[in-house]
Amino acid sequence: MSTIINQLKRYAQHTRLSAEEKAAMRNALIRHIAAHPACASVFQDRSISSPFSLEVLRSKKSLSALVIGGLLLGGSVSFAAEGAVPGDIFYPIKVRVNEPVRGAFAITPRAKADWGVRLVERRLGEIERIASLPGRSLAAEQATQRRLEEHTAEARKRIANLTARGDNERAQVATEHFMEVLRAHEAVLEDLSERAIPKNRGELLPEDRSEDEGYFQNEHDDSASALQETVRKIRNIRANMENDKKKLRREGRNGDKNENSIVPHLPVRGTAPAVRTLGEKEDRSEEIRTRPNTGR
Amino acid sequence: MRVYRLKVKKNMKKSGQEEQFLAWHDQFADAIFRHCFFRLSDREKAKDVAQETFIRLWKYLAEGKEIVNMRAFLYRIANNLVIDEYRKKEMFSLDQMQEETGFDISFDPKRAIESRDEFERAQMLIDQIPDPYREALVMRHIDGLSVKEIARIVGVSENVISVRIHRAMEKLKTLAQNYEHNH
Repeated sequence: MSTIINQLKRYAQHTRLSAEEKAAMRNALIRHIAAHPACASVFQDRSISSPFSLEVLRSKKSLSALVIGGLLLGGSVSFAAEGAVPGDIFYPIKVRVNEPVRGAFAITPRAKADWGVRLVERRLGEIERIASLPGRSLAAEQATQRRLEEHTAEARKRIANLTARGDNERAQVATEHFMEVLRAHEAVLEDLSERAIPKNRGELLPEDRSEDEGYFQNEHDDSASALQETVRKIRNIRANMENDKKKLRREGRNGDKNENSIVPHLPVRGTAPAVRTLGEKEDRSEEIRTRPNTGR
Repeated sequence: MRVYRLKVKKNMKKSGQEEQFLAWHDQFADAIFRHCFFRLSDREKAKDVAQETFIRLWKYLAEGKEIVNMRAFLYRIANNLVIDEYRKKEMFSLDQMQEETGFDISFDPKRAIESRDEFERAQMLIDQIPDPYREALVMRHIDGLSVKEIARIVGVSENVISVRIHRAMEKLKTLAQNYEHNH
């Protein structure tokens, strides 16, 4: 019985959204947020204040409480920092504490390569988040893009290290995974760079449109250019990696005649789907549903 | 300038909420998808339900409602949506699921062949376990939730959940023995 459960758990570990699917879902949710913004009244005096907001710095008392709370609840802060983006108060914890600690657990060359790709994915996610939300900082975007370039170079170096050690198979898998991640995020970034951000800003803050439109327009132009530049860089990297992959395949073919049985087919998806709903549902709270033929 | 600063404050509050929401998506999307997949045995439907789960979550957050336990809340939404799907009686067969592309078995090439049969068997066994036992089994052994958490999500006592898990395991054992016998 434990064998079956272990098999189930192993199966479960491999059952997940592909990088492309996850990015597509994320992009759909971003569009949904823009189309269905939170009520303005929610943010007036709300007690739901984001722990990532820079507003805590306005009060020395709240800053002291934050620091003391962070020391006492180090684990919680570390956890909370995971969602931070450049400009947030917990972002330095994310990149200078969380990531080095997690990276230290990557001991084998393969684990190091996987973690390298994961870091690239995290930076791409941050760029997307910054680009799609109002009130963003162009400087933060550019800083993240610089970090993205560093991580990308490091990831490629780690994958090349696998090849240098003679592990072509793992290098090929890591390369394909990396390319899939880049492909998924390239689609999202391209979509974000093409969108009319000032229009979105107007939808989110209709009362602000007449006063802030001019200010944000210039920022949008610079940001759209920065995003397009990132997309171009990703395309170049993918093209180079495609060559690496072909080279690895040639080397693999020479050493292993069963190539076709090794590489699993990865799904190819088109553009991100529109927000999908399951049909009209009555507006009801999340009460616990019972099954059609329920029974104890 | 003063007016602008107030608007930036509002923007930052809003963007903080949206960032947090997306961070929760990044953290829980795979787990929620996995739960839906093992309940529905249909990848596309599982993706739909997972996405709808987060859309429902956003609706709650946008209305200013506070959530104490995000993980449990997401599983409750997903569970309710799965039951809605059952009500629609649009269940797909295992064969149909296997025909679909994008069945992400593994990125590890060496494991691809040896584990495929194993995974197909595991999926087939799970499919034959009826709800509510399957619900309890998936939440306990695949989602990794405790009996207490499952009881809270589903809305029954811990004792009921323990019984359901036990019955699911017994059913699984019988199915596995029958499978071994016939193959």
